[in-house]
Amino acid sequence: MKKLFSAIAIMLFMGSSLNANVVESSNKENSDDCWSQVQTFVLQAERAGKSLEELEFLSNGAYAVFCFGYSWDDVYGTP
Amino acid sequence: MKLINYIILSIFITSFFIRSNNEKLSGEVEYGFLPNNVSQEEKQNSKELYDVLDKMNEAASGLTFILKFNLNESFFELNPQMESDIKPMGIAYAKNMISKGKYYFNKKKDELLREANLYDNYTLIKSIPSQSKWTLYQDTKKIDKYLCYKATKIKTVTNNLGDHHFVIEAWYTPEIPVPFGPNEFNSLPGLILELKDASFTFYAKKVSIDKSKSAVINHLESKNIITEEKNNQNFFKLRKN
Repeated sequence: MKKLFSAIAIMLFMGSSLNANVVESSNKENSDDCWSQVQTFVLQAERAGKSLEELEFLSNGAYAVFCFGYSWDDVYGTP
Repeated sequence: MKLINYIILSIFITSFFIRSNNEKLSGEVEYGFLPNNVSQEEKQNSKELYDVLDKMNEAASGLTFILKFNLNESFFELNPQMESDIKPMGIAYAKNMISKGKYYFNKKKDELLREANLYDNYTLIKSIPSQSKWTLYQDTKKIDKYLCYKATKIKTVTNNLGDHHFVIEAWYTPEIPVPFGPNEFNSLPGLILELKDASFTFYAKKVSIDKSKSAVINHLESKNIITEEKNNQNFFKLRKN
């Protein structure tokens, strides 16, 4: 009986560990993906010759849009 | 002898009052703006950026800016009457990308102050208008009823990719001999009625001049004043972090 419980415990632990890895990996992919989108956007703005102040405004918005799923209207739509 | 003294004194007083009267001026220009043309190729190469900028330009369309001035001072800002009519996104875009704040220019002090709301402790950003170097041309065109002359200068914007140089084109009228204009652009021998900045072109929609009175101009005041150079350094540090 003890062996059965041990086996179930090990399976549950492995399962949860596996799930955690999958979630972590998925979050990392999303995070990497959103960062690459922000970086692409900022690079385009830098190439267009936007100033540091303008870049601050645009990159803050891009971060909220690409990494947190807000729309541009959400980000700048509040007075 | 007394009579001569009396006459001289009278001439002096009369000329003083005539001069004082001539030195009055109250002016206001309402500027519209248009985004500068961007080539299709550039739009394709930076699609994500220009999709957003097009959206913001649309939200800000119809916005105007107001320049108020007397002979010595000017104040430039987003038209306060517009703030309730335009989408908040358009207002945010106008304040952060088109005008980048409010501007107070004092000719006698040779000082331009910008209120940009970038810092917590109400910090103003200062620059020196006389350092603005324009090239003047004989090219003319009429804007409204005013004969305007062309002037250009190079504006350098520095970001993480290095220096970017933009040709700024202004059309000013010596018929209104004050050195004021939109945003940080000033110090020409006449009022600027059209100005092509790096990303936008400002154009005068309405010009009002009253030589019978001197307008009271809003001031910008703060104990915390930094230079544009220091402001740029702060932003470089911020972006590195």
